[in-house]
Amino acid sequence: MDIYSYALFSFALTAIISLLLIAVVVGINKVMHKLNIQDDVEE
Amino acid sequence: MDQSAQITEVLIRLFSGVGSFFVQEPKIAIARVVLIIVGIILAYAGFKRKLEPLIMVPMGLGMMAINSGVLFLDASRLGTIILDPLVSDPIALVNIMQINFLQPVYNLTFGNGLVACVVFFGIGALSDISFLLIRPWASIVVAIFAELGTFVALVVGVKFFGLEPPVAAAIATIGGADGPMVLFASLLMAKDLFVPIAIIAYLYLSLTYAGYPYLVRWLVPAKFRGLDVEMDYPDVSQKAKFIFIMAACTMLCLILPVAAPLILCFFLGLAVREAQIEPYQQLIEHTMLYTGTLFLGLVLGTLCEAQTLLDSRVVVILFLGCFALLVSALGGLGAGWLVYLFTKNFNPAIGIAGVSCVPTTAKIAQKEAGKVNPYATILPLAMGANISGVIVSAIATGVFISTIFLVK
Repeated sequence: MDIYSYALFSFALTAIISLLLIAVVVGINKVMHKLNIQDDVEE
Repeated sequence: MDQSAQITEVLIRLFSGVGSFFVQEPKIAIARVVLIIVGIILAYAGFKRKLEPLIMVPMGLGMMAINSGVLFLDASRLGTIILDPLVSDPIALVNIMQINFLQPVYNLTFGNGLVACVVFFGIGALSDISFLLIRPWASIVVAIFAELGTFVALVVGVKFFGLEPPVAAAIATIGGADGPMVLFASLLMAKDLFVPIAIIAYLYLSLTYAGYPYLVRWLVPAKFRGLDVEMDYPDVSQKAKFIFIMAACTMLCLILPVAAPLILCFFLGLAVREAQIEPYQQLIEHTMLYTGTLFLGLVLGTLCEAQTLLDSRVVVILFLGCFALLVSALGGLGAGWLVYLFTKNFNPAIGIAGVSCVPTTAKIAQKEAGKVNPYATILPLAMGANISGVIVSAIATGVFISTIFLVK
């Protein structure tokens, strides 16, 4: 792979993994809200 | 030998710090004088808060001391009893560790990236993942574009300077503005250039403290800099945040095992904070982070020996590092404008915080906004972009380390 293609490829890969990670975080947040999971309240 | 020559010889050996200037190659002697002056200037700039004091005060003093404290190690050899980064023979190393006071710190914490991990622990413990959840998509988009300098500098390094791809990639990671990440990347991809890359990376990271505000003022007119942003603080339980941390850490370690040490340390710092394990939090946030930073600055300063910095490749690293940071800042600010144009509820100055120099760039964004409009509160969003920046830098470094072999 030449350096131009590699730079594009690695930038795209970085962007995809980053977006995927945020999608997971946002997804978990939505699920937790739906299930109404809250912190345990200490007595 | 006549008597005057003998007296000169005795004086040179007696006051070897000064005397060594007269027996060294002139270019090394001149470089030493320049580095002593630069060291004093950097330490003073740290004292005056013109540059990041946490790094610059120990680094400046270390730089001054290593270039001043030169003595005769034996009849003909000059050196210091502070640190010698070039020793690699195991027996010589064990011997020298008992003489040079910073040698154990360098070999046992720098050479294996431990200091980078310790600093990352601290950064994790100081970061609050809820900032990221205020506007997660905007934060990550800004951070992705603020990593642009890394990729552009890689191309420039290979195409225009003829560097080997792993070397160019290691230097290009300076564009992520993440000190520990640069240390880690250069150890794995360009071990023989680890010392100059690390020094220049930290010098530049401190210069962002001084240079980026001008860039923000230049690219974001006052009218937009002062924009206040409406935001809802997310109602996220600690349990939810802890689950995010575990999920994100597992996912990143699965995808990028080469960056697993740094990812683990960052997310463990976050986890300790969310789990509210106070003794660990105190230890990581204060003792470990500041011990790591102090020794980082001091060792980086003492690595600034004239001989090391006279390597011709240093000029290339100086140029590429500066270029990478500039392009990353332009990318981040460009993305800030993009998010503003699409949503109309964003301050473009937040873009600078995508460059992951935690928390410096976030503070720059808030400071510049606050100067125009004292009521503008953009720090939470800027911290979100900052934390995203750390994550994106780790991903980019991992991608480089594991795929750079693809370049032919």
